[in-house]
Amino acid sequence: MSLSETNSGGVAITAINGRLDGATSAEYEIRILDLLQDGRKAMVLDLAGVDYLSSAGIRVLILVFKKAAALKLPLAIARPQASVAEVLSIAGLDDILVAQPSIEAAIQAVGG
Amino acid sequence: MANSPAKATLSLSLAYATSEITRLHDAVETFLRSFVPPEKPLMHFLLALEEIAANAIHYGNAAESEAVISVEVHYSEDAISCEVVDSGAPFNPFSEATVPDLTSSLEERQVGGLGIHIAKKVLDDYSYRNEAGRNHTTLVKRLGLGS
Repeated sequence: MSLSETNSGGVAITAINGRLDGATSAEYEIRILDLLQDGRKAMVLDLAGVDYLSSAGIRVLILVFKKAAALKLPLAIARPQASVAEVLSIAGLDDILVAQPSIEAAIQAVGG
Repeated sequence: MANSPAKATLSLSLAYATSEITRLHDAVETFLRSFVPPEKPLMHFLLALEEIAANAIHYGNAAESEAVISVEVHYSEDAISCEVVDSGAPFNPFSEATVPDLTSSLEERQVGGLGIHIAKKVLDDYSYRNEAGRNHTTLVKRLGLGS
């Protein structure tokens, strides 16, 4: 697992890489929540590098979105692979965590 | 490519620890990829297996240090199947798990039961029985056309 962050016009772009599953979710949860609470004004979670998502990973995404809402911090997800998008759809999340097709679209979605 | 055997089996024992999910995923994926299965049913099977194993780890009998979860994966040209046997309290995940909330807003969204819901959606067949005080959970993903 790995997490890397770049910045585009004040929007933090956080790239998650590897599996977002029951073994990695606890650490991703801590690290992403830390980033959210560290003064960023908007964030994009780039899922292009996530090749596998299970319910444990979905739980992290929901927690992160709830925390962002509590902080009034605009947050979007971008570029999920087809298999990851399918799991989000099975979980009934494709309507409420709308995935942006590109980083540019996601930056626009969070007002960057 | 070498001729694939008609049938093959992989047996694993897991400790009651979430870190075992990585070992399970790696071992089962390596085993199955040696037969060059189609990608989508492979991913569906790995996902369902994690959900069932994670459930067993989470609710299992971790107090017994000797306890393990046994996983037996069978590959054939028609299907990938697997049996997960654990010594936790009797629990049929397919009928007793929380029915997940799939429609509420993000603020109200709960995630209980989501893993079992996902497993049921991506599998072609599944069953449960309790035998000699152990939970036996069987998963089937077919590899034929249309899967």
